[in-house]
Amino acid sequence: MSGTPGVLIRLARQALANAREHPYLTALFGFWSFGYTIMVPQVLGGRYLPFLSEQMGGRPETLFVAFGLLMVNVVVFAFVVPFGLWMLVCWALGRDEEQDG
Amino acid sequence: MEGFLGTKADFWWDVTLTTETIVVAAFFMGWRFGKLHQGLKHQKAMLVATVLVTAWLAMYFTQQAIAGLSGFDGPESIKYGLYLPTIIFHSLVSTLAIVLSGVQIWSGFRWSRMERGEKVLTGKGAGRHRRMGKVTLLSYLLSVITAYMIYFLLFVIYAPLRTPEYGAAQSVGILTAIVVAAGAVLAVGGMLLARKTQAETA
Repeated sequence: MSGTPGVLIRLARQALANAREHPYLTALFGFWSFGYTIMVPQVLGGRYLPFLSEQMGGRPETLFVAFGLLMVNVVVFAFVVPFGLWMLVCWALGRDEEQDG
Repeated sequence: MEGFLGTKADFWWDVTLTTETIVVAAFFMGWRFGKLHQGLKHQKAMLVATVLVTAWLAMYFTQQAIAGLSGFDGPESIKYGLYLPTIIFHSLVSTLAIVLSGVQIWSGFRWSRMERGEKVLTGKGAGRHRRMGKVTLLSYLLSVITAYMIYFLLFVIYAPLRTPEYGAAQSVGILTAIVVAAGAVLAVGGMLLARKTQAETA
């Protein structure tokens, strides 16, 4: 399989393998990541949704778009970035057979 | 108390930024020694950098206690689109960098030994130490880049929401205590390390 779906499937397989190989580390990163799902909206604060809604004209439906943007921030900082960091740490920990010490 | 970098930042913010730069530079110097296979120099540089980063953390918490949050007074679009996301990302990579530093110090001692007068990595943890070092340095690099971004947004491009007020004597006193404590740890640690290295070489 090639293209974006192929890359995503390979990434998912690698993530599964990492989770099996480093369960405690995965749990730790999972907990950290979960904390950020609460922390990100907290840091962005109560003015975030009204501000974005006002920027888009202030109609009631714009609040849904603003909420969507807030969710994008949550996904990026509570999932994508911690996931990337976790993959990097797993890469550093794994593959002992390739070590050259 | 005014800062010394000529920006709108106060004294503690300027101290935070300059010392963070020094600490990260020390880590990169240590990494360079590692790349050149100068194990002893690498070990010393990394231990010094770790003491410095611990002192820096103490100083950062002091800054938070004394000066507190400055607040961002720029446009809301920049605040929500750049400033706050940068702070969130900065907190993620900085936490990882600090934790991995500790892991690396442990693994450096665990997987190294003296060989012909030089410290070398050995055993199954050697590869891990090298790869984890790259991840740690990347975290520090991203941390310092985002720290500069936050500083520029807060104090160079825009102005802080409030200027904290605190006494110079108190700040200088605490800072001196941290520097003296870090110096003492470096001196005692250096003596202990020299003794250990001598014993391993003999």
